[in-house]
Amino acid sequence: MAKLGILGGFELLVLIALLRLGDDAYGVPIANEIEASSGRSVSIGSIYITLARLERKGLVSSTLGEPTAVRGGRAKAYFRLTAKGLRDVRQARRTLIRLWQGVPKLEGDIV
Amino acid sequence: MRTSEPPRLSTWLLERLAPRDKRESLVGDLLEQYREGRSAMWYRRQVCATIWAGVVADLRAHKLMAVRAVVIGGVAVILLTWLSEALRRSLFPWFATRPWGESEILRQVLVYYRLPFALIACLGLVLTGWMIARWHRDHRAAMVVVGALSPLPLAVQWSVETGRLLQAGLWPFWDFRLALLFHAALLFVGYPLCILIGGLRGARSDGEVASRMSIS
Repeated sequence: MAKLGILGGFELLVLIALLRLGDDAYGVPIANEIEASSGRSVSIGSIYITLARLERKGLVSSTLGEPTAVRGGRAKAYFRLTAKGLRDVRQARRTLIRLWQGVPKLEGDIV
Repeated sequence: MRTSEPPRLSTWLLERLAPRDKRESLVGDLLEQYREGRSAMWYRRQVCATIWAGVVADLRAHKLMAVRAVVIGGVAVILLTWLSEALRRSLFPWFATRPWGESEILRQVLVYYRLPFALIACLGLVLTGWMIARWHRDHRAAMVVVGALSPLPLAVQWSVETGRLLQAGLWPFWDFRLALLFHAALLFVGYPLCILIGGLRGARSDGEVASRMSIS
């Protein structure tokens, strides 16, 4: 997927999913959100790998929840956007909007 | 019948080979989904995709480390092949006295299949895989996988040389083509598999590590 500034395409999808999910953003709902929006099948592992990369870049922070029995005593890892992450998402959005404004109307497009 | 426990082998692999960062949460997510009705096939697919994605990400991010793992594997293959061949040559005069008596099976095992020497090499490669896993704890799946590819240049070289001998009619043991197939399988499949097995043995799960630390 194409890169948007310092963000990769999949990274941007993950960050937007985090924005949509708010406080309930952990692996499973993030994967579901991306699958529902993009129609692509997404592995939970690739979500975690991307989140780890975003965390290293300082765009995302994480906290551990309480371990539960249904998860075999393992805690959920909740993720949130940092201020830097939010700024980068806004920047990517502006870039995309500007780019699309210069594109002639595509055949079959509803816009 | 569907149980509340997901496929054990998949979980065992996941706990050892998934990316280390937040591995426990990842395992918990998959377990939660499985218990909420996802199929065993879905679980296995997720495990494979997770391990594969981790391997690819680690190889992209740590190319030098991957080169090191290949070099470790390659050096081990060369040393072990040299050792087993030197051992075989030093024992050859003893073989000539047919210490196995009239046993045709023993003659084949020792002379054509070189089985004891192959076993020495296999054990050494299991140990090599174990060491690669221990030396690359944070990226062990990727490093063990690339380490397991290191016998392949030797396998290709052997194939080319053996092919030339066969074409020139210089292969002395025409009645033992099965031994040739055995050696090919050993080099292309057996040796890489030994490194993978050693890597899996060296890859303890975080739970095992924690329990060992609490015992000691």
